[in-house]
Amino acid sequence: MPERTRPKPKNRFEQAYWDALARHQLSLQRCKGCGFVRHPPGEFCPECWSGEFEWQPLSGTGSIVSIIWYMKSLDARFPEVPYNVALVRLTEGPALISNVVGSAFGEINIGDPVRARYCDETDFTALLFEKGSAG
Amino acid sequence: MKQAFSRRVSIVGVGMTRQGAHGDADGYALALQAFRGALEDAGIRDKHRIDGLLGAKQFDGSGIDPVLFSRVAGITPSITGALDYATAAFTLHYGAALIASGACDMLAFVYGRNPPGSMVELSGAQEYDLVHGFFNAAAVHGLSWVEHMHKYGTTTEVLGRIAVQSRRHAELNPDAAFREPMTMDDYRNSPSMIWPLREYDVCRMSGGAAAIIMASNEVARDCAKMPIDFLSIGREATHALERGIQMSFSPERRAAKQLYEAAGIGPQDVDVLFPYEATTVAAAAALENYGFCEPGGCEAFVGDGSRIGINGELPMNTHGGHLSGGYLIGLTHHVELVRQLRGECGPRQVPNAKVGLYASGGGIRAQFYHAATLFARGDWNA
Ligand SMILES: [Zn+2]
Repeated sequence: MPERTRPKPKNRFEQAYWDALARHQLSLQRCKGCGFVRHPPGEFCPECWSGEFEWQPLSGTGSIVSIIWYMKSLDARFPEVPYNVALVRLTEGPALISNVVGSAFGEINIGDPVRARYCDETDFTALLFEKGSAG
Repeated sequence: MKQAFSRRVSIVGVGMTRQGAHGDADGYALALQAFRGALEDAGIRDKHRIDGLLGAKQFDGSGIDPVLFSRVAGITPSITGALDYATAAFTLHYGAALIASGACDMLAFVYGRNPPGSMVELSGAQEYDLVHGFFNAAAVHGLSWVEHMHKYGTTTEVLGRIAVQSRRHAELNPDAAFREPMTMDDYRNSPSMIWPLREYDVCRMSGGAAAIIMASNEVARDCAKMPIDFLSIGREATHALERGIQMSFSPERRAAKQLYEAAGIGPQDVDVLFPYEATTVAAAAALENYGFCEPGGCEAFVGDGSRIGINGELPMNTHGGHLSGGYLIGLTHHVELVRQLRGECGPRQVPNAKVGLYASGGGIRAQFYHAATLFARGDWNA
């Protein structure tokens, strides 16, 4: 198993993001000024600079923008290969880096639908994805 | 930058150490050697004429602090500086702007390092994301290439041709870091690292230094060698990965447009091309985005590799690039570009090279930046 390390939250908005993941809920900030859904979390909307927002629970669905496979371990904390790193575009807009679990090399490609899979570590919950459509 | 510089800026001197294994030599010692070489190359006897000094640091902290280097070299430039994202073109554009504005008359960009793991470890070590194991700058290039293959039906064969051709050029360059002959079979059999990239797609760490001296065109007339002029620059930046940017190299097309329009020339006028390639992907992308072929056309363009060879239609990275020459933030590319336009490259000289293009792109904190420069010798349009 990889030894996943959560980054230290840089602000209270990032803390709230991780707290939601611990409840197995992906939530991002939706700007009340212009509707933009932002990631990573922060105080102001990077589009209109409004500080007004609401946490919007997301569907957790998305699709693969691109995916690479580590065939050789580059770090002792991720010893098992192959494993993938994917850029996933969420249905609601933003894209994020994650892993698609449960699919072998060659079984997951650009454009494939994926859905959130929450992975509980000892002190936080990681947002991973698996191949498949909603629910 | 939408225009060429108002005051003409030239490179008047270049210096470089051999790239490769340097035992326990210090980066500053190597940089001093390169700086001495650049001053001699320019015919500058008085080191105190350098009134601007720029350095650069890598993410791992190695590199040159310009204030410390000033003390090492015993000079007192009135302006010193180092950028956050400092690979060659970014820093040279900053230096050129200092000269174009009149703030400096003669400015040096000095860089050197001798990192741990030299000649062995892959370059680009970075920890982007420790939740998901997203490591190494090559990973971002890998994501781009997977998109490219998906969209255009390209393969890794073109990347191999680029790696092999770079090695052929390095074989002709005694200052290159990696010179053992390499074939396409060697490439195909090299271990997959971050699929679709193999080990030979990614540059390795090496030690070395280089220095570039720039001056206003008026000052340049006093120098020993033929000045090489900045014709124009092109720059572009994108939002971060989280905004869903696809094809992280495609904004280069906007940098290319600025570059060519400001100079009033096109890709057909470029005699020699120097892409900054942390991986082979960056070189393949530059061929398309700087207009040498259509988007998706790089594999057909490169063919068996001869087209990008010394005597090909578009000689590329004639010193071996980063891939075989050794990684030095794009500075060895500039040293070679200047020497090519002066006609000093001996067995790897491109016949009658007058216009050279350096093109670079890269990511920092998941944003992408692109910087390119057209250089020419004074008689390029004679
Ligand atoms: Zn907004």
